[in-house]
Amino acid sequence: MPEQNASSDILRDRQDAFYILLVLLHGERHGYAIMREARERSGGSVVLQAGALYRLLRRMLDDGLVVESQRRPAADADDERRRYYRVTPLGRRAIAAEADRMATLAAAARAALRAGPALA
Amino acid sequence: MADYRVPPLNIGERLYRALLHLYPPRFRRAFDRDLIEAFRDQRRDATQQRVPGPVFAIGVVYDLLTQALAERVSSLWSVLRRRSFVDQEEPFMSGPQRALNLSEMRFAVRRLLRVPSFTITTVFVLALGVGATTAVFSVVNGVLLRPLPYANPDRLVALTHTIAVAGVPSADQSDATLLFYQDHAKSFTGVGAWRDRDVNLELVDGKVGIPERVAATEVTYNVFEVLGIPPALGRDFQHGEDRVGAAPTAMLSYRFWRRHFGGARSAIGKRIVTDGVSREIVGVMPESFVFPRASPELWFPLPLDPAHVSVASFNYRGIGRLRDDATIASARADLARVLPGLLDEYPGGIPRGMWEQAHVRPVVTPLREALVGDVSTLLWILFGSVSLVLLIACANVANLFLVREEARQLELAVRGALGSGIAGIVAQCLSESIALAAAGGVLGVVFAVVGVSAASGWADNMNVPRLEQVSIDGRVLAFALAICVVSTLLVSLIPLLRARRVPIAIVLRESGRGSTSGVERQRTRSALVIAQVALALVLIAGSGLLGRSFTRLRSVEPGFDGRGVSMTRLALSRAKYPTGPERVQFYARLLEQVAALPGVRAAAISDWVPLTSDHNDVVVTVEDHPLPPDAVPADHFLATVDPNFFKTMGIPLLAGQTLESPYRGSPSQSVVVSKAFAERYWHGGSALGKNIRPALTGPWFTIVGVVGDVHFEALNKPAEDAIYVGLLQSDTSAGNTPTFVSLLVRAEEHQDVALPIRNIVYALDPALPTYGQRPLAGVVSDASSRARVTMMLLVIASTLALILGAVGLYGVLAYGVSLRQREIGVRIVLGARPSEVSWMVSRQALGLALGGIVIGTGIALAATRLLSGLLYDVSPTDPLTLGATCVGLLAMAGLASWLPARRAAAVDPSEALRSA
Repeated sequence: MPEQNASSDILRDRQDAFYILLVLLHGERHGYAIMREARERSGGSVVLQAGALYRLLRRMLDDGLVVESQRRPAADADDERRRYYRVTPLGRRAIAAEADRMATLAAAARAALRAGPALA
Repeated sequence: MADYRVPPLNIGERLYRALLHLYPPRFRRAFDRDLIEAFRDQRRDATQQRVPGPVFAIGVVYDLLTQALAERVSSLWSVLRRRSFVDQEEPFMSGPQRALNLSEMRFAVRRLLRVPSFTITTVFVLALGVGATTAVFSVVNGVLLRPLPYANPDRLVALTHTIAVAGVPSADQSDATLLFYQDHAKSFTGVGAWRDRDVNLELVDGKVGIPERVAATEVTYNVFEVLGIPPALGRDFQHGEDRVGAAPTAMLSYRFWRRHFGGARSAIGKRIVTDGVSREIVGVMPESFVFPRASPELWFPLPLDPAHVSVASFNYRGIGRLRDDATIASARADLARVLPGLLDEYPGGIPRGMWEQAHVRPVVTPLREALVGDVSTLLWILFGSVSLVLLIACANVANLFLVREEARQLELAVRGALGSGIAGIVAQCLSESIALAAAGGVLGVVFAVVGVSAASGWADNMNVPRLEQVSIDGRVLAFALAICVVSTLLVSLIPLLRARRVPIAIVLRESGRGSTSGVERQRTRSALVIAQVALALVLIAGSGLLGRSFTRLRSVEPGFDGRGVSMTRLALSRAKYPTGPERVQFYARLLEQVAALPGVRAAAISDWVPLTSDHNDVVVTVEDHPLPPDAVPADHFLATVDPNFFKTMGIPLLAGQTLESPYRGSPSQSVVVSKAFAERYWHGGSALGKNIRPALTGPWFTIVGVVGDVHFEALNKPAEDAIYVGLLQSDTSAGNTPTFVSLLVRAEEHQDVALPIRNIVYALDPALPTYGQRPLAGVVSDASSRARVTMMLLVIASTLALILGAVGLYGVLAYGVSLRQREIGVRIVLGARPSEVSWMVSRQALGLALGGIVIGTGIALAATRLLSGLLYDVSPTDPLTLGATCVGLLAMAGLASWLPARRAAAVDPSEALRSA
């Protein structure tokens, strides 16, 4: 349990970290593809710059949420210079835990909004 | 693993790669290729989406800088955390935590007291930087940042107009526009206006005192309501009191009330007499109340007359309070919507066609912006320069730290070997810099307090608005604290990074010898010196440009000779001297007596003294330049003077003759024009005998003389087209002979005529005050005072920068010589001559200076553009100034290298080789 808490800290603090994992859940990606997809999936609200992206990746690598992938997707075969990343099982658990936490929060908030006294 | 060949790079990628060195090495090794790849992709996309290059570059550099710094901090933390578990003394405290520990601080202070020269130098250098920055920030804060002292100040706006008339940049409100906006504009909860109208104070509560000129302002009834400040005592002006024919009333300032009524509440309801008008006192404003612009002592309601307005006389400053749902843009649109209806409601003041030609458009500006005006650039530039001085000071102190650390390397290494670990070293270094920065900060705030009170003197000369609101408040103190923290970090960052990098074993093995780590440190110190030289160059180039601009300004001929001329202001009471001939008679008697004073060479009366705040412009029609129907005639300056004005002021008469004397009682039909005016209309032909008139209609005036050009408004603007008319014109009704005039007297040198003049005036009319007495030479030098003060401040800042830079360079060289003693000894043994050894050191100095100069010139070329608004007749990239600055810095480098070079040449080889 403590390990899981520690590993999802970064997800709780940083929305962009959450989006990086979310992108990687769809498959292995290289750095720039992550930046592009994170922006698309977030509807433009998560705009990562290269420096910020790799710093987050560094932390997530250190925490064991992602690893560098050894395989290359066939479609990108010509792009072999790039490094690809994928989510680890720990990363999957962390994002699931974070999603649960947010779902609980959202449910609590909705319930409170419904039940609360109508002020206006 | 992927293929890690480095792809071929272009220039942008090379630069990006160089910047990657800001990251910690571990991070860089892991990700540099990926970062470059991502950069390449980003740039490709940016080009496709047509993102401008600079925008893209700024975004990338910002991202890189912030992320690199963050990564550095977190890698430092992780190292500290790991180390502190090994650290057996206090296992759960990291370096920074320990640094804040009280006992560690006490140790640090004790250690610092053991090296007083180091400590005093450091504290003093930091205090100079912090003090200068804090002092300027307090001015920036008071003038630019602090909200205006009114209720909801961000809803207050200034109302002006743009207007398409030659020579008139903008127009305020006329009585017609004011009344019209008050009735029709929907975006405001209130629209008010005022105009300055100083008065002679004659009676206070029935008692006669010494006649006194008092700053007064006429206001609409609602001005205080619009500002949101009610009177402290009594009542506000009421609706209808600002109409012609209403019972005259007055509002007192707190100061006036204390001075004349001793603060008695019974002042309300009493009467004062100003300019022959008896007014009832209705209220007193609070002590803390400041009026926008100037600080009048009395306020009177304006005598507005809706039935007789003057549509195009924009003599009133307008303010408004926006409704909560209005914005600047919507308010402007609102005024623009209603303005076309103005002439329907107030017809007759101006032909409709001419009004349309003038393209009058309303402008709404936040009041604070309108009040502060062009001073803000100036203040931000000053703030930038002192920040540079602070940076240079920090670089210098960091250098001192490096030297000190060098000397203590063995001690630190031993501590490390004994298990104190990196945390101990970090704690030491941090706690010392905290102690130094705290001491420097306290001393700096003291400097700032002293500086600000001294500064109010110079700032008066710069016409800085809101100056009375400058003080050291919480925000300024917070700022001082923040820059102390920043300088602590800056100062200790480099030694800290070094401390982590040097392996302890190497230090222990190599202690006492010229070690590799010593050389590497020297490289860091050299980089710091280059940065100092570069920053100093920016400052020196800036002050050099202002200096040149100032000398240009000083060499501008004002067009008159102010030496030996003194001015004395008078304002005749309109009630006592209602007609022109009566006023002229008074002036004649006054001039006769003044001219009889010993030492007086010439004396004259004028309603406009050049380079003062006097101003009068009129529309002028020229007989042989008829305007197309409804065209807007040009505006020119008009001075009403007596015939001796030109002789007294030393303005040369270029052609024709001067005005006729009004003192024989015959009205004049003649006019004198300036050379620029004659050039403008008759291009080299003679202007004599031509007819003009200072109005749209009325009698013509004949040009009888042409005189030299005079700078009326400012030295840094071209001399204006001006016309001069006599004191007594054909229309002898009250309007044309001014009551508000200056007596100009040219006297022998060292002849003080001030007191005799006052006595003469008093003898002629005991109720008439004299004021504003001063030599004209002072007026002329004041006209360039803002340039002078700005230049002086920048010169001080750049002198500090130069000294600090020289000290830094000297330190690096001297230390370099001591490190290379053995090498130098060997060279001398092998036959190097002393001059060659000296040159070796000087060459290093010049190399460092050149490095700084190249970088600094680049920065200066970009930064001095900011100055362009302050410069007169000097280009911001003036090659002469930049060249002189570079030469000066090289000379400074030569000077700083002189001692170390001599010391190197004097190295005794046997001594050096033995001791090494």
